[in-house]
Amino acid sequence: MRLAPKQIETFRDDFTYSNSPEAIARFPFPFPEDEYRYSVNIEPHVTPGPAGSAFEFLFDIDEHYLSEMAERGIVLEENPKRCLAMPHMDLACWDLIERAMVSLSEDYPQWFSLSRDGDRWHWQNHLLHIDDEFVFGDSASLPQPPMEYIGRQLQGDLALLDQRDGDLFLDAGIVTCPADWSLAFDAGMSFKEWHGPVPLAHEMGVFERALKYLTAIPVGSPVRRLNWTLTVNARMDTSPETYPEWGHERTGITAENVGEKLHLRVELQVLDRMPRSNALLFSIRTYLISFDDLCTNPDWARRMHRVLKTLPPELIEYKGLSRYHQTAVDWLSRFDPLS
Amino acid sequence: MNDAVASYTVKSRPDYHEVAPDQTAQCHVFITDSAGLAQSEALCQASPVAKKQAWHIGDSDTLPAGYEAIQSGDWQAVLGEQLSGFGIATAFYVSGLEAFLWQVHGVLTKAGFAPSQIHLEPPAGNQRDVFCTHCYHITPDVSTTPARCAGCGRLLLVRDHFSRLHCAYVGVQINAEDPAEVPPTEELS
Amino acid sequence: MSGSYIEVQVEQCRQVAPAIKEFALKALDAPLPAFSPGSHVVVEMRDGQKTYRNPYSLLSDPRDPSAYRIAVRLQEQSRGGSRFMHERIAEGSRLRISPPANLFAPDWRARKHILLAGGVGITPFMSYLPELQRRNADFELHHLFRSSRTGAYDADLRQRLDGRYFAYDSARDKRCPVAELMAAQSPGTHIYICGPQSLIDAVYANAAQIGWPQEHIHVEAFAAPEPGEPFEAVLCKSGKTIQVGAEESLLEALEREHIEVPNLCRGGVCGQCVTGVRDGAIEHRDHFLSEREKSSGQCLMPCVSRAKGPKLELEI
Repeated sequence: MRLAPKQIETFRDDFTYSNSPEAIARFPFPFPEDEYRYSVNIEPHVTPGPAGSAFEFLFDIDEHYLSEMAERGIVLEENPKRCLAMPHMDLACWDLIERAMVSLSEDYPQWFSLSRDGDRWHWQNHLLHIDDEFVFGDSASLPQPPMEYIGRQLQGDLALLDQRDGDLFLDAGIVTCPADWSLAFDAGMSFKEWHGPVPLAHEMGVFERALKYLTAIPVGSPVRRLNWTLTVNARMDTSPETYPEWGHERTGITAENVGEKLHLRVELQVLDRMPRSNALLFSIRTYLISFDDLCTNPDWARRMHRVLKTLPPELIEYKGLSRYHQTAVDWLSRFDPLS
Repeated sequence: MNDAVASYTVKSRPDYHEVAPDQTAQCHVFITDSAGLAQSEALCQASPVAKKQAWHIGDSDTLPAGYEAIQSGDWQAVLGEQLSGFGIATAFYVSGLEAFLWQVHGVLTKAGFAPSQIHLEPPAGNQRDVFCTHCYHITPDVSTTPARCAGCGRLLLVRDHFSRLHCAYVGVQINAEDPAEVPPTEELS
Repeated sequence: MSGSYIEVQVEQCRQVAPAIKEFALKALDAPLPAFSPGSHVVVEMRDGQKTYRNPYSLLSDPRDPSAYRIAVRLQEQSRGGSRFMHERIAEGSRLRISPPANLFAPDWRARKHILLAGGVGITPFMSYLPELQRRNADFELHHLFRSSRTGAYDADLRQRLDGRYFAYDSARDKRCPVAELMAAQSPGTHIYICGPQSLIDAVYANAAQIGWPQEHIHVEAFAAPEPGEPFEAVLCKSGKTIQVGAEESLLEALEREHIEVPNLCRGGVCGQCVTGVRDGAIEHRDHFLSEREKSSGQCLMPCVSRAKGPKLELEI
């Protein structure tokens, strides 16, 4: 049985966000080996996965649901352009609404319910006290544009990629907790363009292989991969838009506060074919855990040390870790008997 | 965000090659701003004497023979209207500053022409348009990094990450992590 | 085939042209997924020890997932699949199909869509039409067939599409003027072709000649693998040796030996089944690999390509 969402905690200002022991136990630790290396590392997202895990269902709803939805509301209020959908993506947005509402109501019947009579749908989200009737496919029958409407009810960032000419284009999305990329700037880019700033991988042919794989994903066979970086404080919105507000936090890591302030940030990325539009859903579900909490698991602590220690300099720079990388490695070394 | 100008190549930055006239096209159209005029004229003279059209976009009194003027005001709308007379097998040659090249590219693709029909010459200068990720303002004709955003006044690191939709490179505040750091100004490539 | 299969039952089958049969498929347990125009499914047919797997376009309305319809042309040179569908499958028969995949979707940015169908190549366009009409898109359907064999849905389409439908029955000596058709189009027009290689070649040759943009030409090119000489495939990693018969593809031979290779189109287009080659001459028959990759001799597409000699050594 899943833990019900907690009361609202914050991802800014006083940072009251915390993980319960159960949330720590189910944290999707991303490193399969001691040395970090680049790979496409995509695997089938077969559901249901292990009971209670982050991989159990298509969309993971956990104890941070209310907090993350409140945070998303703050970001959108400050800057409504953090959500966009080009006109040709309307059908894809409805594909996403169907996929989300059907799976949420089946996977979490205690929190969500859906009843359908042809195109007349009735949706209830008991956690957010939403109770709406609308006509499927008719965007005017929703209280908000379809991408924003469903995006405000799902944890994690969402992008819908239009597939044309064997390529994928970033033509719709709601991105309020990104690891340093801007939907407004990257809008409309091809797969390789929006990955343009990523070092090393292009030369290794990673994106050619990934693109070939992704464009061929059939309906009903989602795949997933994990990505990661480090974040100072439990800040969800580490976007370029708000960088002037949080950039200075990177200079505040000391040997004394690493455990409390530094967080491992893991993205569970799921790619799922949208049936009617042939678009590809790219959902990026973000999990944050403080180093103190992470190191309650000795295996994770040891491995985290080894991964950071062997991380190539290009990636240290790209992930924005330069200012505190050495401090973090030194602090973690106490958990590694080989150091 | 990076502390220095990215040391690796960014793949969203377009590659440009020398342009040769497309021998199969039924019609050739040359479009240039003032910076690209010499390039455009040379190419125009080298191309086969099929059906030709040449436009200069901008405010100029003296134009080479064969070039028609489109005033810089709302030139994108004017150009779009002019295009309706051209057939599907038309080749376009665009010369000028980089942002201009992609603005024309946008007008042409919106009119239904395919990227393979649109030949962009290497940019006629190092000036870039820069999209500020903080206020979304686009500052034109930037030739150094860091550069001041004309919208919010922040000092922006200009990166090589390019958007064809915005016809601009991305700019991110350079000293957000430590305001004491003001790196030396460098000329853009 | 990757992913999970869907169990279906044939709800209806009917002759829609002298050589074309249509089958309506209903799911046995879960509802069928919605799909996008131009999608296909791979149908798995079990014939005793033999298993055929053929891709067929979905021709029902994409917004109506109550049943999938496919149409199968009986191939004179059938390697078994189309004959099996025609002779052994009837109402009530059970089959397994893959979930829909799409390698031939419309480009919705097009200002006008020209659909060129040759024979049974009408099938993918059957799922385009309802969506084009719903969106009030500008389009024309050009249907090339020989009424003694093909020409499915001709009367129905004539009625439904009125002035947007153009039929060319070669049995009555009517030919499609491809060159004039292309030259007459305005910017923003896209052409979609599903039909014989000769039709595809004609469109591309004409495009190259008059400077028509190649990106605006979309092709549903996959076709059943052609037979060839039998050969031996040595699987270097697993140490197995398998015999590939004249009538089967290398991919089918591998599947017969329970060696799974990811695949989607089974017709040399999607690139999923690309396999490394250690040694042996290759007869490339795909549309996926570049000329450079083909001449390197280091990989092939086992769904259509074969050995050029008696033996191939593969990196699997």
